[in-house]
Amino acid sequence: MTATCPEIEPQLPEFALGLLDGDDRARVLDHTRSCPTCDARAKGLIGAVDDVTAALADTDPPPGFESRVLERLDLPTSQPVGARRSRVPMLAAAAVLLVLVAVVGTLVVTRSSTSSPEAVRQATMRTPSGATVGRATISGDPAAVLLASPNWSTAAAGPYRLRIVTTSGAIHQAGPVELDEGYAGYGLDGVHPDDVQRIEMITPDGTLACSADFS
Amino acid sequence: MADAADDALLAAMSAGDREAASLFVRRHQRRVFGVAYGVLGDRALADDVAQEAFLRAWRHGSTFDARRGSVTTWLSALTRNLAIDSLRSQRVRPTVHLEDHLLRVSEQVRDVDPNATSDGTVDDRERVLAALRTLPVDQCRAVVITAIGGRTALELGEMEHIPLGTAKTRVRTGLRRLREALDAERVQP
Repeated sequence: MTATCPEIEPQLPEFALGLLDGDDRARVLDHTRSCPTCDARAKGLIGAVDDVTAALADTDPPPGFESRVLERLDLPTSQPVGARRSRVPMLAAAAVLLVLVAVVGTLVVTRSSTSSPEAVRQATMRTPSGATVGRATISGDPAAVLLASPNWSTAAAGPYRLRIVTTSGAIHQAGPVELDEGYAGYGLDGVHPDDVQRIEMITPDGTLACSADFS
Repeated sequence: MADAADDALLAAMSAGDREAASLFVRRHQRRVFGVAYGVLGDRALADDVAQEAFLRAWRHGSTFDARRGSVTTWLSALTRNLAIDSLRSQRVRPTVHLEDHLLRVSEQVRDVDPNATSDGTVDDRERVLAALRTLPVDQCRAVVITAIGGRTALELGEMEHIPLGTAKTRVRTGLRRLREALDAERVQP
């Protein structure tokens, strides 16, 4: 049962400060999703916490900091993004497209017979019972798919198998993919992004975990 | 690329562009390390947390939404949350560090000229310090102890020898007043 405003309001400051754990945090999130008043109060408090953070002075990091960060990022020095085949770059390439969608502020769904490399297609990921658990984004040619379900609390890490159904009825298998904090990316070699009709995430025991319909 | 906007650099870094990542880190490392050090008060711990913050930024760059605020604010909040998590995971609570915090912040609040800096401008940090100065002392302490010190309202109550309800009220009122003060300033020409 959803908590009431008088129950939630005293928790908002600690929620904004990031000091609520587990159930309490989930309770506030659940309430603010359906209560514009508490949502606005929470956002105001979060803004104030951001302001306080701005009061901390910039400080020079220890020598070699930049090098250590770049080493941990493990980015290649010269290869173009499109030339790599590993899972992480595919995820990253798809992530960029999500950023573009977010920045533009409008979901652009394109579909044409001569699609451009900029085409981005997006669909909601739902469980077989119809619950929304995230979204799938396809872009590029060859296509890359990004599965984003950071709030899918019951999801297993995987590995999952991807079942790609195209508009011609052909079925392509891909994977394995694992959710990393709710995110997974994969390159769909041999599949044109405009031809993808449906993507299914299949668990190791063959059960359909969720699917995204692009039609 | 050196002139690229923060969000463009973040996107390029997320796409695996090493040059963009290098520029992004160079541009934000003083802020990120400053936030981590400001919360933790330990350079070695702050180094670890600041590195982790950039890794998270790279990994979760796709969740950044420019409509909700700047990259700097997003990155600062991400770093602060990581630092608070690290702080709270420490077995020995750094009470000395917290007192040092309060001393430093209160000194900065006291010393700030709310109207101008040496070059005639007022930056965000100084605006916030000036706004903190307008709060009653108990609310200012409550905000700093929780927002920077990472203490819960219960811990604040124990430190200040006040009931939990009073502690929560001080935090809530302090944050609200701070926000109102800064919002009022933002709408002024």
